[in-house]
Parts: sequence; C-alpha cells; structure tokens
Amino acid sequence: MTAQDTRAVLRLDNVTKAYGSNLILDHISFDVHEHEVVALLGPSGSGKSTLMRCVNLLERVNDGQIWLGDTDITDPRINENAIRSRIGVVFQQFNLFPHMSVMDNIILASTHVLHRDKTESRDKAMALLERIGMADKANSYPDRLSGGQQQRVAIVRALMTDPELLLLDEITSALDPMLVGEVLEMVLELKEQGTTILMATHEMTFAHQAADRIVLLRSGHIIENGTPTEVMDESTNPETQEFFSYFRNL
Amino acid sequence: MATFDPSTVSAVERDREKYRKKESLKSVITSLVSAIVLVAVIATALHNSPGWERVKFTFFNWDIFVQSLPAVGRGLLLNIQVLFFAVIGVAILGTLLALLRTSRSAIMLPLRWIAAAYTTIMRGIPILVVLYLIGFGVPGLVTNRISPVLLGTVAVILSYSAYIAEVLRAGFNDVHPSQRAAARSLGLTNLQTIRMIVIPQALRKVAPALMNDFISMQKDVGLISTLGAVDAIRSAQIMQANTYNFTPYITASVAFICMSVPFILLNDWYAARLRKRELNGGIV
Repeated sequence: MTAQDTRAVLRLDNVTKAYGSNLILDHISFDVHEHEVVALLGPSGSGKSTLMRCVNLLERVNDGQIWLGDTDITDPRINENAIRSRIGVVFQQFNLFPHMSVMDNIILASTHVLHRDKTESRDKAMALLERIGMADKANSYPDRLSGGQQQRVAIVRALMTDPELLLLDEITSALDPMLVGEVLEMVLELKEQGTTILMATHEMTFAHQAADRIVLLRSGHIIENGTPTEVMDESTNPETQEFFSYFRNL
Repeated sequence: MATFDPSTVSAVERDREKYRKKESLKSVITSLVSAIVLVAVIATALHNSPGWERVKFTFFNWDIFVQSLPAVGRGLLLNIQVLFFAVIGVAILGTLLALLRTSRSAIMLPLRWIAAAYTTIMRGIPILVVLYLIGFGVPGLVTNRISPVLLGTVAVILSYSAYIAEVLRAGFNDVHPSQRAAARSLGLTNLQTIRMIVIPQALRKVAPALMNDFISMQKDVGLISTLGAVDAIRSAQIMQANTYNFTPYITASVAFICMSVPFILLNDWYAARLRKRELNGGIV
C-alpha cells in the first residue's frame, strides 16, 4: 500500500471522522484496487456505515484524505456532484423513486446527469434488465416488485453511469432470507465482470465467498486487512476470533 | 471511546479548513452586496416615479404614523383577546370535527355526514360572508343586543375550525395503522389510542401547517372590524376618515406583522427541526 500504487481505484489515507469529540473513525487507511471486491465487516457501531458515507461524500471527514483514482475527493475545491456520478451506490433500503417506472429509475442519471441519448440509455438499460431476467418489469412501478427485485433494479441503476467504484451498503439487510440469494448472485456476476466493489455486509458466508479482501473494523480501527482465509479462518487475533465466533453456528 | 482532538489535525485538514472559511466569507460578502444592490434599485425606482411624493404623503406619513399608534395599539389589544379565545374555540371544534370525519363506527354515520358537509360548505364561503351572517343575522333572530366582538369571535371560530379540521384529519390519517394496531394490542381502548397515540403523532406531523393557519387567523381577526368592533383596523379606519390619510392602515399592518413575526420564526425553526430529525432517521 504505497502512494505510488496506480491500480488503486479508492485509497483511504488516515481517514478520521468524529461527531463532536466522539471519534468514530481513527486514522483508517486501506486501498481498493481495480477489479477487486473488498468486504467491510465489523459489529454495529464499528464505523462501517460512517466510512461508507464518507466515501459517498455524505459526511465530511475531520482529517485524512480519500482518493478516487487521482482525485482527492475530500478536497473542498472539487465538484462533489461530478465525483458522485463516478461512484455507484446501492442502499440498504433500495431507495428507488416510487413515482417513476423501473425504466425511468434506471435511465435517470444517464439522461439527466451524463446527458446521454435517451434511446441509447433505454437500450442499455433494457440489456441490463434482460441479463437479470427482469425485462418484462421495465414499465412496472417499484411497489409492484419484490424486495429482491427492487434491490437488483437499484444495482442496475447504480451501474448505468459506468461508475469506477460500486459501493454496496448492507444491500441484503432489509431482505428476507429467500430473496437474499438472487441479489448476492448478481453481485457475484458483477465480480466476474471485473467491477470494483466496496461492500459493507453482515453476510459472512457471502463475504468469504465473494470478497478478494476483508477489512475488519472495530471501534473505528482496522483490526484485520487480508484475504478471507487469512482473516476469517487463520487469524489468531482474539478480537477477530470473538467477532466471527458469533457467526460460526449459523 | 476514543476522543477526537481538533488541535492535532494534519496540514491537509488545516488547509481545507482555511479554504472553507475563505469560501464562506466570500459567500457572505456576495449576499451582502446583492442585498444592497437590490435595495438601492428599488429605492431609486420609487424616488424617480412621478407620483412618489403624493403616495408617500398619503400612505407613509411619519407624523400620522406616530399619531395613530396609541389608538391602533389599543385596538390591537382587542384583536389579541379575540385571537386568544378564537384559538381555544378552533382547537376544540376543529379537533371534534376531525375526529368525526375520521371515525369509522356505524352509529356515527350521520354525524360524519354533517361534519363533512360543514367543512365543505365553510371552506367554500368567504370569511366576510360568515362574519355578516353571524354578526348581523344572529342578532336579527333575538331581540336583545349581542356584542359584535363576541359574534365576530364566533364567526372566526366557525370559519377556521373547518380549515383546521381538514389539516388535523390529514394528520390523523397520516399516522400509520400499525401504530393503532400496536396500541390496541397493548390493551388500550380506542379513545386511549386516539388520545395518547394518534393525536400526539398527528399534531407533530401537521404542526407546520397548523402554525401557518394560525398566522393567517392572526390577521383575519382584523375582519371583525366590519361588524363595528373597535379593533386595530377599525381604529385605523376612524383615523383615516378624520385625516383623509391612509397611513393608520399601514400602522395597523405593521402592528399585525410585529405580532406574527415571532410565530413565523417559531414555525420555521420547528419545521427545520422536524426535517432534521426525519433526515437523521432516514439515512442509515
């Protein structure tokens, strides 16, 4: 992890975030490389969500820098909207716009932020919907879809702007177990296509299977940063072992 | 829990902070300059219009303004009294109407119809007509004289209750049915549920709309002057008839504005707080 590493799509350099004097993230540093899937794990209150919000520019960091490619996105001189269109975000609660059809949800950013041709955007959206078997839902409204379908549409919506990085913020936490599988399968497919992903998740089995690297947070510190096998199976750190012990018998 | 010490931040953060301070200073200066320019443009336009001196004399006459202050002020005290009783009356009648409108029991059906008809008709009639009907119609029914202040207050209550009832009804309907279900599952009666669960949540949701109606009512109590009650507007009218100058109306308006500003500020503050709280819960 050196500063000259050009393959890093996202680089966190001593990121520090506090609410008042309450320190949430304490000098966090790690990279997400191109085509890499990094899973961010940790108990509630460890700073996962805050970290995701900082990367998505929803929170302002108190110290340190976050680099997206060659851009320091914590620099107040940059155009935040331009940065946001380079990062795709999928939320826990889907956040589809209820007054727009699936198709309009998907092509919104493409036509109104990137000003691409509407027909072209529609074709591209249709191709993506076909790949997830939802082409027949293009003109439906979000409330006619199951949670899993909504979340997959949300992922397609995030992908439409060809983001350099895809942020997945606990995207299966609001789904019932039957619907989790179809969403995770889609993430695996994205991984195979080489999408760069940073995801916060509580799905340990999935993290083990899908992630190239696991970053384990605890009380605002990174306590592990390694391959799933290194972190989940071979770590001798008692804190790490305690955290994963809760998931052993699930 | 570790604590954050702002004095130990890196040079990068100090540079960012410096830049942000510079930017916010820039925006303060920009807004000041644009405000000054706007005021200057309006002032110049007024001064250069040919009839400005006449208009200024008739509407913005400082001497008459000062002269009219005591009478208008005394009148305003009456408006405040009327407002006080009207608020209480509207709160009671409005809540009652809203509860009737949202009730679902079969026995309430005729009352529900009456409440629906009432709010529909009352919101359709201009408040001035309601004032005339109550103020001049009711005394016609009986022989003894009734104070125009009392009649005016009643008219304001009758008119505004219809609006408030509809706002409250929207609030009651906005409380999610699961909240009622949760309250009933704890064993609360229907009335307890309404009183302790539905009304408090509904009020919180519609508070900005209620405040807006309150501010509107604050100035509409000035309409009781049409019945002959000597309030702020009537006092101004009397002075205007004596001096052939409209400045007393401006005096009364200034008084009404001063009365409403605290509530407008309170409303803005409350709405901002509500929004902040909702945002906090909204993004996880």
